[in-house]
Amino acid sequence: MSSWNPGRPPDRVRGTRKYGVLIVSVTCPGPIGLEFLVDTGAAMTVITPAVAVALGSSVVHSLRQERVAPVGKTLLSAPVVRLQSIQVGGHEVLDLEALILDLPPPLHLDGLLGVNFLERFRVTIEFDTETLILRRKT
Amino acid sequence: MAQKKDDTFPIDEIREMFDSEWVLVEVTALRRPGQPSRGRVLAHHQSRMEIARKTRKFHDANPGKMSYTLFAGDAIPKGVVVVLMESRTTS
Repeated sequence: MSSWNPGRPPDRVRGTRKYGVLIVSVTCPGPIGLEFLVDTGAAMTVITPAVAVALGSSVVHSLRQERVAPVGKTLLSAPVVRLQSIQVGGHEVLDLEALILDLPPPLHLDGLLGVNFLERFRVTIEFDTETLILRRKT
Repeated sequence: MAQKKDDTFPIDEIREMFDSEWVLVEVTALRRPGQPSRGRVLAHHQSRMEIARKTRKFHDANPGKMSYTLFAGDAIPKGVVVVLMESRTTS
């Protein structure tokens, strides 16, 4: 069983809060810095097709198609790719699966930081300080 | 001898330089790991895909250098309430 390691300080990742949601900087291989929305309602991390183009060869091979259940829409199918790494603050997760999916056009975001990333950590979201806190599990 | 002009700016200032455009920045300083604080504007465009192609080109020509892409403007338009999706696994 994993537990919080009090000996290691948590990583406080300062983001920006826009109309209720938190947006943080993430770094993909390149290194390519991007801005993702922290989404505890997304089971998987999402990148947009434009991000897939920017990342190039590291994500060209689709692993499989996944059925996606967007709120208020019927099921749709989207390709899943493996990101070599994704870094948030000082924490890097290797070989993370991500969906390639268009986000609604009015949103100018490059992706969603979903539960398959967040679950690797003990996570606290401080909305008042616009901060995502990641504590490494032991 | 003429001094080389500093063409780098704080990320927050770069955000204010453009209006509703995607901006590609070469990162020259980090505030903390993974958190760019300063950089040089490489390109700006209304098309996200255009910036993606320029990002790929930049990294192909400059391995190891860090880029940062941001949207200068409201990433989430005022009055829009964000309710996004969850995925369902096929097994």
